[in-house]
Amino acid sequence: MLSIRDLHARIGARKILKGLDLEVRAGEVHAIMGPNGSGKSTLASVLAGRDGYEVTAGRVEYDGRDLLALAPEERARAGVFLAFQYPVEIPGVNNAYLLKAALNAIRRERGLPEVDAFEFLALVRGKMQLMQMDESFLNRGVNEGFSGGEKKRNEILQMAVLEPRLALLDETDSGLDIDALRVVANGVNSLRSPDRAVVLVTHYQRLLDYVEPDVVHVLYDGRILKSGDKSLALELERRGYDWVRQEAQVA
Amino acid sequence: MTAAGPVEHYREAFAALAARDDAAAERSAAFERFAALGFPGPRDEAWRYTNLRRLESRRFAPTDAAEAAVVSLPSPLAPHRLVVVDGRLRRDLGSSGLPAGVSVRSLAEARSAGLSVAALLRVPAGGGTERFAALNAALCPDVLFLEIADSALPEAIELVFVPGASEGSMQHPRLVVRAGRGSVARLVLRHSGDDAERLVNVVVDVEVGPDAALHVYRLFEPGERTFHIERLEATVGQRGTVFVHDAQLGAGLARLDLNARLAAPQAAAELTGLFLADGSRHLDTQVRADHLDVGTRSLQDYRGIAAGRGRAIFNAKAIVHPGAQQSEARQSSRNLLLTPGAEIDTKPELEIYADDVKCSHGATTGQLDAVALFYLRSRGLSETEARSALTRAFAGAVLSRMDHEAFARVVRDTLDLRLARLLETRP
Amino acid sequence: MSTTTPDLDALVASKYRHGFVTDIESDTVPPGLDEDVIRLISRKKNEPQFMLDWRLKAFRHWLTMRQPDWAHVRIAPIDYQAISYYSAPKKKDGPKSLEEVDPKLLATYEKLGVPLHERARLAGVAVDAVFDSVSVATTFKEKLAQAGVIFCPFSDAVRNHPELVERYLGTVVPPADNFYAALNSAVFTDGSFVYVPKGVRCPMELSTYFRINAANTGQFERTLIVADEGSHVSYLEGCTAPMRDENQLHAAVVELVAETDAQIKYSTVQNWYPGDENGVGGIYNFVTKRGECRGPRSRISWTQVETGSAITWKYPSCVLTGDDSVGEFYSVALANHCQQADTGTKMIHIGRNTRSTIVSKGISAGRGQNTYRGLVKVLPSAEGARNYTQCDSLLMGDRCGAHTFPYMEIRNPTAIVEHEATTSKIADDQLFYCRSRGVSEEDAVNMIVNGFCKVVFKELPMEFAVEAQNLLSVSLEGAVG
Repeated sequence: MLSIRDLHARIGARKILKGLDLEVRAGEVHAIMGPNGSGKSTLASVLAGRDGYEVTAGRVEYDGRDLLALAPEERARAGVFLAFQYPVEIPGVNNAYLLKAALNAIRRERGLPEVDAFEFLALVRGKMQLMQMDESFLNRGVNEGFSGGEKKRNEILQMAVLEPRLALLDETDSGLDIDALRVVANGVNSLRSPDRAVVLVTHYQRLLDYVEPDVVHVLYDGRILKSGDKSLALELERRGYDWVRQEAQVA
Repeated sequence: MTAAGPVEHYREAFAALAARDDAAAERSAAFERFAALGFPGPRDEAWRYTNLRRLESRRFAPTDAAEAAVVSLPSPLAPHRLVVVDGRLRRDLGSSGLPAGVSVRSLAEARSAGLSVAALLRVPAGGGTERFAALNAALCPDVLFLEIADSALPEAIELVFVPGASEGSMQHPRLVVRAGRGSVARLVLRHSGDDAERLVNVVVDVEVGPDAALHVYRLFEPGERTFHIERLEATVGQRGTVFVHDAQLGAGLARLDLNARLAAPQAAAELTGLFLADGSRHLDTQVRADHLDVGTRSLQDYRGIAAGRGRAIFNAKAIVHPGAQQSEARQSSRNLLLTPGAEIDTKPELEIYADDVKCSHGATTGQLDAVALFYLRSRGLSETEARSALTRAFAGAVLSRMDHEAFARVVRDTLDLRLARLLETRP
Repeated sequence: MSTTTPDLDALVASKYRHGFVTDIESDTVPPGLDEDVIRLISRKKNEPQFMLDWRLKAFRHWLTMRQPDWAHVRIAPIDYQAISYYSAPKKKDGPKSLEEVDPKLLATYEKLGVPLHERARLAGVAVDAVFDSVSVATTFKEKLAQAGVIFCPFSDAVRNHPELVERYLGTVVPPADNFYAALNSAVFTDGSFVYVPKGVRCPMELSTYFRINAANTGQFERTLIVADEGSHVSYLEGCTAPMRDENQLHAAVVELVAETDAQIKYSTVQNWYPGDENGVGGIYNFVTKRGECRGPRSRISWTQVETGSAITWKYPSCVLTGDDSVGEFYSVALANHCQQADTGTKMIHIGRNTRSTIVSKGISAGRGQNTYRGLVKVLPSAEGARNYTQCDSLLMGDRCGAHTFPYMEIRNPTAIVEHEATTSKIADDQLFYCRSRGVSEEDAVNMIVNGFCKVVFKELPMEFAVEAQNLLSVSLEGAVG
């Protein structure tokens, strides 16, 4: 589904990704772990199409399409979803309004009829129960005055409603207490299906206690240094990252 | 039409002084500039709240006494002191010697060193005080040219501007400061004076070089019969910063135009201060930051107090010129109106011609917080004590930024004294 | 600016140059202005003597005035002798049917969701009642009459309620107030008059009636709304759809009087022709709008959404005379392409415990220049006065400008005046967030802009708020990208 080959990217003059390879198939959940500054968030931003990142080499294919050639909204409509590490506040713009506009834009792309206000509400209510979110959320401005945990839950709610084929979660677990973490994990697990894939970018393995990854990658200095199954995450938690680097140098 | 009278008076004064130095061409061009601009008319937006009719009706006599008697000198605020009487540097009254890396020259000395007279007598363009800056260039007896060498880190220097002891005179002091690349310096500019009626028309023209930081501490305390007009203009180079700490506490009618021109990338200005318009003072402070290049930053933060029959005008202006992207401008104007009969007029303006900017301003005018006042009294303070404490706290926010101890102390003491007098006489 | 001022001495001295004849029967007088033209207007409208005297006095004063030049706008010279000051409300030489109307205009109506039956009127189609509005209007009229509310064209009011007109006209905006108000006072041809009697709550938004029945009130419109003791009225002026109009200069005057405990809510949506992308053509909108909260506890609220006109020069104001009275101003002003908007408000606090709120949202795009100019004045008598002002500007594109000139003149030590303002561009991360959810860039901009303006839109009558949002989207088309 997602195929990244020799990806190089930089911000200004600073090189961040230095030849990253990654293969994600439908039905899989991948976790990308790595220390601060290894390029985790850059990878998520490049995949979602944020400005300010320059791809200097490499290819990213999504369902056989050149993902990097698409505008951010085209990626979203094609089924790529990024849960932001720091969701932005948009004062005055109603949460439900954005979500409905997004849902209908994606449905149009998929050749589905647009949902009206009633259908939308019914759909969202169901998802909100799953996220243990109060309905008043819908009528607030997008992330306006939300706590950190509320913002993250709102990201997962959007994901649950938009039902992406490829979900990228950028450190969605950071700063969450145990209850919120469970809620987020529920949201991710409910999305798992044979035709979808999830990429979790994270610093800690605690989210992986609740969402079991098929593959764990170690991202270090802009490259995937090592891949393995979920036991790798536990090992990283125990031993840190240095041993991976040393191992890679030896090899 | 109305301007003809006073302008002619100044023309006579100018004629009497002509041919006193080698800058005749510059000076007469400057005078003609003044004559062309004249006094501000009734619809002049830059003088919306300040009427100069009283000034226009006066006929102040020029003084150029190199040995004028000096009223009195306040005690020093810095290790090095320069005393300027009636616009002339009096080496006999200041401290001997200057810190390393600092030089002071007269117009004649600068000229013989090959410096441009035109630059030293430059008339900053635009704004409501261009006319008076031009008059200053025409009439100033000398120029004080203070130069801080590249990379110099001198001890603080105090410049005291005092008038000679004559009633009905006018002075046109002119100070030109050049802070060299990478230098860091602190200047205290202190304007004082007695109770005589006079006009003091000042120009301070500052150039802050690349990577330089210049701190200007301005203590303003002339007597209540002084008309004071001043243009303080700072042009800031790349990554340079000018800090102005202003304590506007004196004169009967004062107009200060404090301008920062951020003329190179990442240049910055912090223009902060306080004013106290008590008695029947009329204090008109106009602060302006021109963002002329990318990544420039400005802060304009003033606190003002008006009481008695005092009137304070505070106009802050930030202009982000076309192309000055990534600029940031912040303005804050907080004012306290202490007694009936006083007035505060404030106008924080933003003019933005670029889109990638962050600009904000806030302005408030009000009185002491009644709840806080009650709280203090319920803890046993008298009303006067409580009011005084809260008023001082209000000014304290600006005082705490005045990172020059002796300067901040004098400002605080003066403020305390004046506030005590004010609060006692409160009905 | 002196070149734009008519040579007044010559004007006063000479008779009308173009061979003016007083032809009572003609529907349109030739261009030009002198006392004879004013007498003619007054006679055409069968006005009582007091009205003519009032007009002439205003005209004589206007001759001594100069066109103001303090606003932050550039104005091409206006030749006041080239304007025709009277045109009877007859059918214009407009298109004969919708087929003849510019398809671009029709497309705009479509986007705005203008009802079919209104499109013809807006486009200036010269046909008789194409829709069944007469009966609708009659129903409204009956309902208003039952409540005792007078709502009629200004010229009818002058004839049928001269005592009310004489009592209130010019008491809030005196004829000599400013250049354009003086001109309007001399030559206004029509407008609206509203009188709500004591204790009456007007049974409907006066907008509804107005929008269906809008007459061609011309370029010098005069509106007077009087809310007597304890009454309430909500008045809506303008229309989201662009109006066809050949007059370049519009100089309207609106006066509001709120007596004791009365409330007036005045909402405006203005979408006159702004000129093309290069600034050619477009309406000059130089309006004087002022309300006086004359009685204690009265309240006047102005809400405006300004997206049209080449140049807007407009400061809906409140004179807060009555103790405990309240003035409000909520504004969205958009300047796109080459539009210039210099708008804001004045809040004059005279009475005790008077309160005012100002919320201004300015949007600049293209080469538009948007200026907020506001005055908060607290007189010594205004014990306990309060003002809160919030003034935000949004920039879209690097050739536009956003300017803020707030004047605060405070002369009472018990007053509290607060002003806050911000200027910034639409944040990239907000745009990216919306786009990464599948929303197109243009829709994302609209969303964010509407969010920015929300506090103002919520002050508009419900159905109009939706239209105003659509209007903003249409006006911003092509501003980003």
